[in-house]
Amino acid sequence: MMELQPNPVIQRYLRTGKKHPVFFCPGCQVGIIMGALIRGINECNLQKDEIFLVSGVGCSGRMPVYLDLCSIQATRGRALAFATGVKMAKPHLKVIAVIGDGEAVSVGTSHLVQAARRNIDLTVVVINNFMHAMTGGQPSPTTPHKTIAPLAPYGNVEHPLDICDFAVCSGATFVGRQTAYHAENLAELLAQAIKHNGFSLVEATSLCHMKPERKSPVDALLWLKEKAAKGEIITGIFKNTAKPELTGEYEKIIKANRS
Amino acid sequence: MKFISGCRAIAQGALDAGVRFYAACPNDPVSELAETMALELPKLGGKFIQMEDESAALAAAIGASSVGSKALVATSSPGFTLLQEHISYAGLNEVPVVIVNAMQYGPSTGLSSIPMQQEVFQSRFGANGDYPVAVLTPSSPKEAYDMTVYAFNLSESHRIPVVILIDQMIATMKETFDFRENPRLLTRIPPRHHFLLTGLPSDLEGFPTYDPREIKQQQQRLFQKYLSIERMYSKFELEDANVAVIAYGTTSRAARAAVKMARGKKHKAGFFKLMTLWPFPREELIRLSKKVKRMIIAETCTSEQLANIIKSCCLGECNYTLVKRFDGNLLTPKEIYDGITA
Repeated sequence: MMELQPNPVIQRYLRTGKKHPVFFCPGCQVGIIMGALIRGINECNLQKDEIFLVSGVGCSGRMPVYLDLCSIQATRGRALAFATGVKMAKPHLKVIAVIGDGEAVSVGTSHLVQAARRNIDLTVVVINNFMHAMTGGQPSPTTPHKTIAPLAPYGNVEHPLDICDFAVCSGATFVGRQTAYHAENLAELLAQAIKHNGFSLVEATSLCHMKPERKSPVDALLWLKEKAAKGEIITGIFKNTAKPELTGEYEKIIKANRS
Repeated sequence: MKFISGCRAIAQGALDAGVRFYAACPNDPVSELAETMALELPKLGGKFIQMEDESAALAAAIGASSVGSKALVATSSPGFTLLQEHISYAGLNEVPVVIVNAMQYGPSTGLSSIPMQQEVFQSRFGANGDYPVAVLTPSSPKEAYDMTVYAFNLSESHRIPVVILIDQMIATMKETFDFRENPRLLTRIPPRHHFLLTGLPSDLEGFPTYDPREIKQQQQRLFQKYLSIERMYSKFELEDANVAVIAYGTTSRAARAAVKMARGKKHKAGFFKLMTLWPFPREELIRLSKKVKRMIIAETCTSEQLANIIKSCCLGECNYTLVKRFDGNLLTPKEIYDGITA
């Protein structure tokens, strides 16, 4: 029987003191996305002390519990506001924010727009599973039209928002999307986003296999594969441009005025 | 000597206390404070950012403080309501941060040019959960300067959010005074490991926990810390007094004048000024209530918030006279004097 060996790259970035069992459900795609994030960080040759991780609430919000990085699990939707403070105060830190769709484009909408508009050097990973998964699968602003869900028992009468389009319109200078099924591509995309100097957003499309009704984790991944193959989930880089970055611009003001 | 407003005094106090991060949100009557910080911080290598709302401003300040920058946020009543969730967050996560709240007439949007004292409870219990927060109430620009320096030391020593509760009057009035030379400051010890802040109940290492013992331990630590905060107050002519006036902030200026008037007419009146509103100087007021025959509680608040706390801790010990005003104007010394002689 084949014995599973711990991956040394992944192990290097995990906290050792964390009490188990882990919070995520077995087969959860947040784990896959966390693995992709670790590989992406590893590819950028960053020391652990050079990275700061911010998350919000919900399932994706628990990521900092497992990653051995200085981190903040913020209040709901406010992750980018916390991240902005961290980055402004200590611009040498590479600040990564991991948030869900139920935060990024609902309560955290204004923070996403403003951070993108400022072009502050943050890397935002939006884990989009098209619902508020932890609370039972209620609709989020990305839930497709007519989807039946708790709080939408007769079908979702609202229309979904495309997070990547929204980020591009807000002025983000790097925007891309990959799915949890395409984990290796996601890791590459995340590495590119982290290396980008400016506001970068990566939508990691996923599907919760527990809510609203259970399915197998494999089926959930295959659903992503199929949707991407049909072009219903468009993957790739949508924007990659350069624009003066906020903290860099502020450093110039400090340099010119420091007494 | 400087002739400056309460806003400028707080800004100067904060800069002298080592503040290097300010997150703003345009908000009268504290706009002058933000403008001063925007101008002065880059000269000291500090950072200024205008955030989208007050909640985001305090979130950014907590973020900056968590990586070692002393941080300040200033707002007035409706904005103070917006940022409440993060006072609770800073209290739970033991992140030092100072918040200035210039009280104005409410409810709702209210009017920023009218001073009121309606936030005795919001400043302490505005957010969910039991969290520690200290509330200081300066009554002049000079006191605002001194208390700002003190607020930063208190927030560092106890690792708590500290609210400086002023009102529109203190924010905009000007006064001549000297700054303290090189105030004594507390400095931060950098974290020794990769810390984790979380809004969940957590163990000593910061990991979320469901263990009742660890939850209890955390709550106890936070509450003990709150209780250990020094209660500041000042007494005026109280030694032989049989009537004591109790007030804080702007109203205390009129109260002091009223006591002087009363003494001039041979009334045995004294004045107890609250400088730390929370934690409330409960023991001291109970002692006072046993000593005097009557207490005059003066505040510009419709729902008698200050009077409610005093009555709840000194119930039945003496008689009370409430002197309140809620038409947007300040209490005059005459009105309080009438309360003393009634």
